[in-house]
Amino acid sequence: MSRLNPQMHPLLNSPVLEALLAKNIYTVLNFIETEIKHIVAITNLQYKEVLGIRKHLINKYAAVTRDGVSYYNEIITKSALFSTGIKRLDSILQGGFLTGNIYEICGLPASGKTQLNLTLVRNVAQNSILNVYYIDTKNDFSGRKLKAVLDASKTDEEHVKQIMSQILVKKVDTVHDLINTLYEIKNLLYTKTIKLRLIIIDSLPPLFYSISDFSKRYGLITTMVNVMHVLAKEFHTAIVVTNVLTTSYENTSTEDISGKIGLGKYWYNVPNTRLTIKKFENSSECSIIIAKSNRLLEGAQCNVKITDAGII
Amino acid sequence: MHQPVHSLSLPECKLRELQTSEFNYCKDLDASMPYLDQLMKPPVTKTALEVYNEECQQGCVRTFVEPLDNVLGGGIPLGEVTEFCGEPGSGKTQICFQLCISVQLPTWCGGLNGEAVYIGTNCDFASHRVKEIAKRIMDRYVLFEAKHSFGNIGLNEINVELIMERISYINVSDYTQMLLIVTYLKDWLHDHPTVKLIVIDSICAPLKPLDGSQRTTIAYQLLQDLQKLAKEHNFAIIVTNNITTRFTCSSSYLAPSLGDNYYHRLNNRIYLCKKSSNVFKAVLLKSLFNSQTEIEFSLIS
Amino acid sequence: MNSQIESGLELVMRLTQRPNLENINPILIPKGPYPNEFVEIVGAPGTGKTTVLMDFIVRTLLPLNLLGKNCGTVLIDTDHKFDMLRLITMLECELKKLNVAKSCIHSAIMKCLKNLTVLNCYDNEQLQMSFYNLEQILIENSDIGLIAVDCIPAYYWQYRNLSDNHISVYGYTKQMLQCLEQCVRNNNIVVAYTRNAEADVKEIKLGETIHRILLKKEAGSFNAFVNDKLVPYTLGKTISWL
Repeated sequence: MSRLNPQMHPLLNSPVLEALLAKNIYTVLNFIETEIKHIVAITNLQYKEVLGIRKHLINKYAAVTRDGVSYYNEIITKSALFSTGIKRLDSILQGGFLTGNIYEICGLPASGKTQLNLTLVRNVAQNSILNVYYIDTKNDFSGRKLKAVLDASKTDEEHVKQIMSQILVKKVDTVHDLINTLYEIKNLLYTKTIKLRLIIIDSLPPLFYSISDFSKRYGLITTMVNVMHVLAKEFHTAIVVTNVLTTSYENTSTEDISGKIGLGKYWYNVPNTRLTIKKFENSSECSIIIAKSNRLLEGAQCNVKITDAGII
Repeated sequence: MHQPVHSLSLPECKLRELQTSEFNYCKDLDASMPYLDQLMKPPVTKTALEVYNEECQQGCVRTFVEPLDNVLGGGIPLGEVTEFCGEPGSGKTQICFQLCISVQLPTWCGGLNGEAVYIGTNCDFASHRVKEIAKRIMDRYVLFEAKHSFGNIGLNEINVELIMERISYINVSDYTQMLLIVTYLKDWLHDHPTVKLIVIDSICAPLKPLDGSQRTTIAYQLLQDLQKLAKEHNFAIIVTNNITTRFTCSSSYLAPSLGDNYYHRLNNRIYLCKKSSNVFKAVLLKSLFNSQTEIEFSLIS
Repeated sequence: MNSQIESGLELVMRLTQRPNLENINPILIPKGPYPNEFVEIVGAPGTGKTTVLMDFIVRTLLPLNLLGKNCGTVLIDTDHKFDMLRLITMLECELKKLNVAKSCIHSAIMKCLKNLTVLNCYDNEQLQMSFYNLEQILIENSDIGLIAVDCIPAYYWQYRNLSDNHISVYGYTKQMLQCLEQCVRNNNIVVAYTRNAEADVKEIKLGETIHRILLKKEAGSFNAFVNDKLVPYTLGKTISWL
């Protein structure tokens, strides 16, 4: 919890803070949890003064209060439903990606996830002047591949250059890098330095395999999810995350070898919509199914084709 | 909504120290940690255009097997992890030998004038075999040079002995050694900046005694650390892998070992199999550049 | 003789008349919920806890003449499954069912939204501080009768890592509920919260009565368990109790 410091309130000067620290009141939460009369006794401040500090701190650190009508208006004006560029996918998504949501794309290896990501990033950059973030965790982003996809879709050279300049690529190696990146994006959006609607993270599992302590792993996933929610809801972006499905060949039960979703139990419930992509054998066609969603129809399916010009 | 301290890459003891004194958020730290800026710094952002330009300038290790080079977009890409998988005798080791030599060829004929590191885990490194291949390549090289007669480049520039000298061979017998090698390489590479290729043959052998999730964690860590070095020093990573049998409830099928999570970490996967005494088939299973393609080729024997 | 001294503030809080939420959902809560009581919605992921909570909220927001409670609601959202647009859809469905004229629906919905206050939380500190902020919110607005929290143990792992506390999910949930109870006691409001847990999870005991609704998905169909009574339901745009 936030540590008390003199910048928080004019009455929280050094002697007051020292007195509080001596009684193990280090953080804002400690201060609020302690009864006012105890604080008065420790710091020799007036009751009214402590009440004032308390009110100020609660105001500062509690969540912003929004009334229903203005919240609704904010969502209507600032959210965006933007097309994925893939007609059939748009139809099962009821229009495309909606800001404020976290989407997950999962599939077995070589099912077309990276292809789908490239198509999405190309389409969204093509249809607007906004930036798109592509956060690459396993060095899979290939500029040449993107250019090949753009060239195959017969985009003219100038436009290709412009689209490629809109796409911001971040190569991250560790989960710490990813969290630092997400906070950086938050600051950039807060200072209105960039305008963003879509952040793609390809993919999450590689960042967590090196962390064997599951408590630490889940703690880091929670922190990552918290800042993702801030980016999605407060700054009106859509976040698309890639996850793996692994075939559990150690489990020889009579059930189908359906994929096991990576990242564990906590993450399972985080995305607002989970899309599963499956490639048909010996074909360039894939099916995309809505496996789970808060607002869309679960089980809705569409078939798409992988071509040189991306996924259509 | 502030960044918590435990999201920083700090050692456990330091984290614990900070948390017991109730320093929970990065904003609370400030002056007490001089290297805070460094810890909170995210990686550099590049536009896709910048990434593309960099990639175009980046080289690749040519295999000198034309169909294979074509399908790979020039050769084995630098800074990436490429896996050759296949059954025993499918030519994985042979192609690794060939690459250790071709990487050393001078740039004017398509090589990178670089050194190679061969990390062997199952005593497959047969130096006499490498010498043979080197001799054959040298013969072709001499012919090639004569044909194109670059006046001032002499035979002394490259010969079989020099080729053998510029391949560093490390033998590891278990996975702990394998991990230690990477740590060792961090410093070693500073003294050997011309290394352009590191081969691990094979990656699955030392991991056999471990169980499933441990194997994934270690293979991951290994490739992660190596790829970081690869991006920094600009070399290619090649690993070889075996084929194993997987069972479903109704049937069994063959698949490369080490599983799906490890596969997720690779950039390229090429499946090799031998069709006849010197004809091989390669299937590009995973690549940044191309979708699945099948080719046939023969190696220099 | 037991004498209790309470501050002027506490007296005001205790005596403030707040909207009545009795019979808000007689199928799930046969008796009540009475002021100062808690409603717990617990179930595994995907069983529709947020939807059930939203259903309660719809009932509280609707005006009295449309089978609602015309009651102010504070929603504290931690895992962001709550979708404002979906709430609007649910309100629309209810209004259509009650034969409200199409032209009046939008203004009716806006009127309902006036009763709603939303607090989006993004970490544990913000959540706890928001609980403390409730006191102020409740004083300023005597129309509020329901506090809805979705979901209580969302920041468990963050809390565990933050101070290296060795606490279980049950312990953390109990701690947060006790903090919430402390902040809203004697205010005559009802607290409804969701809890993400498996079916055989330990019950939490607080000072006040808790109405427990257990949601389960078995073989493709949804069932709610209330006091050992089984209530099947379906999830769609809204929730339909069968």
